[in-house]
Amino acid sequence: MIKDIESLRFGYETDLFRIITAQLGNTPLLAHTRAKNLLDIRRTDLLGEAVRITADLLPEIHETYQSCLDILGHGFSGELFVRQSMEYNASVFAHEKKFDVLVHSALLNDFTPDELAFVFGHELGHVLFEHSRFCVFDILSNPEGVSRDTADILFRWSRASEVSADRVGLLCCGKLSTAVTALFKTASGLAGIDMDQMLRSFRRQYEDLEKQLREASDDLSWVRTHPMIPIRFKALELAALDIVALRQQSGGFSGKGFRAIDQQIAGILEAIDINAVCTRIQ
Amino acid sequence: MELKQKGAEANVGSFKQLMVTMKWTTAADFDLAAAYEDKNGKQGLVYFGELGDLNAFPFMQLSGDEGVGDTGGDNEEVMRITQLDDMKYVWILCWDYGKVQDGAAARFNESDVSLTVLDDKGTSHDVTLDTGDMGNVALIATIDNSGPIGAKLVNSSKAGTLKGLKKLQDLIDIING
Repeated sequence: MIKDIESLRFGYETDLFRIITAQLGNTPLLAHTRAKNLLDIRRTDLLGEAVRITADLLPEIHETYQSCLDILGHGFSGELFVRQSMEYNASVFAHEKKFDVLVHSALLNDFTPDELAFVFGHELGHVLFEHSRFCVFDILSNPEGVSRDTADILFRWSRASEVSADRVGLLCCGKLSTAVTALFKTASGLAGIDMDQMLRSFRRQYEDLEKQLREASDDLSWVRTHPMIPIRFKALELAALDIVALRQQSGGFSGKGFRAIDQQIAGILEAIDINAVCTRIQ
Repeated sequence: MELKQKGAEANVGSFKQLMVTMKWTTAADFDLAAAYEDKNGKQGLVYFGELGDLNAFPFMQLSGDEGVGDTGGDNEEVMRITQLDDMKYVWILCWDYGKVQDGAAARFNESDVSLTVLDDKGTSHDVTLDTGDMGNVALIATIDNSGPIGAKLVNSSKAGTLKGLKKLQDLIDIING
């Protein structure tokens, strides 16, 4: 188990959570009974329609998953399932410290164990930070409705929570290059690209995307639960050294120092969010 | 890996990012700084007066001054480098800026200044300042990214004396002297 993991939670996520609570007048967390029910429904579905990954079935992948669980510690208990799909995707739902992770088979076929550690870590990050307790779509489906402004903040929170989860992904895989490769494969479907090329590609595309979001009259780019991949890359690139230092547990990680970096990243993502809002209003 | 002696070097390979942590416990008001030369020959300095930027050139940034006050104890300053690709050299420096302004000598030879250099793959290298030279600015390590096969980290321990810092070239002269 690694100490201070909680400090990896993206500060912007916390700030947006406070805004949502203020706007809605309460903290709309999933009720205990409903959360348990959702977990049970999902587990039944996974046991019925997917395949549980055990040490007997896929020893290397199971070991990688266990190593990620060990990093998190805290007595979490959850199994890993695979379902046939050509899409690179994974998901998790948690209730208290129980959860199940589902990965699509394309990930197991095409990703290296280290890259899978990033994926597993990302999903476990959602568990660690209890993102399942706060269901954006549940709130949006409220028959009384929420304002567009509140919906905007809810999606921002969702995107910020993905940044927090990516950080745990990097913590589990241990190398920025591995996380970058996983993101690059997810976006492009391509393998075997030189690391320098991938980095240059992401950096340039981030700059163009940031400009595009600032200037284009795109009314739908804000309706996203996940940040666009070049933005995820940028958020990881800036936080990577501190996350690697935290993983080393050799005293190189400073909570105070990381908060300063975290605030810079929040400033970048908030500027993108606000630009998107301004573009919609114009 | 430890680079305790001047001239010791390590091939640190194709890392993309570095976190440089300078630590000392002796009572001295040291500051961490980095001078650089990029692959187009552009030179610059990141120090407490120009903290740098992680998301724009020079893609390096100094943390806040955490060793103010000339006090003993666990003093630490951190420099993060998020993109090294376009840099040819980065020189990691320690100075006592108060002494630099006066042109007086700092207490390097009584100090226990050391660097820990952590790369983005989690490999760390320790570099110890190894000089008896008098001065108020010490070059501790050089990140030499000029070669085709990846960067080298070199213990460059040496000290020199500045009287004020009117132009960057004065510092570069000490580095290359």
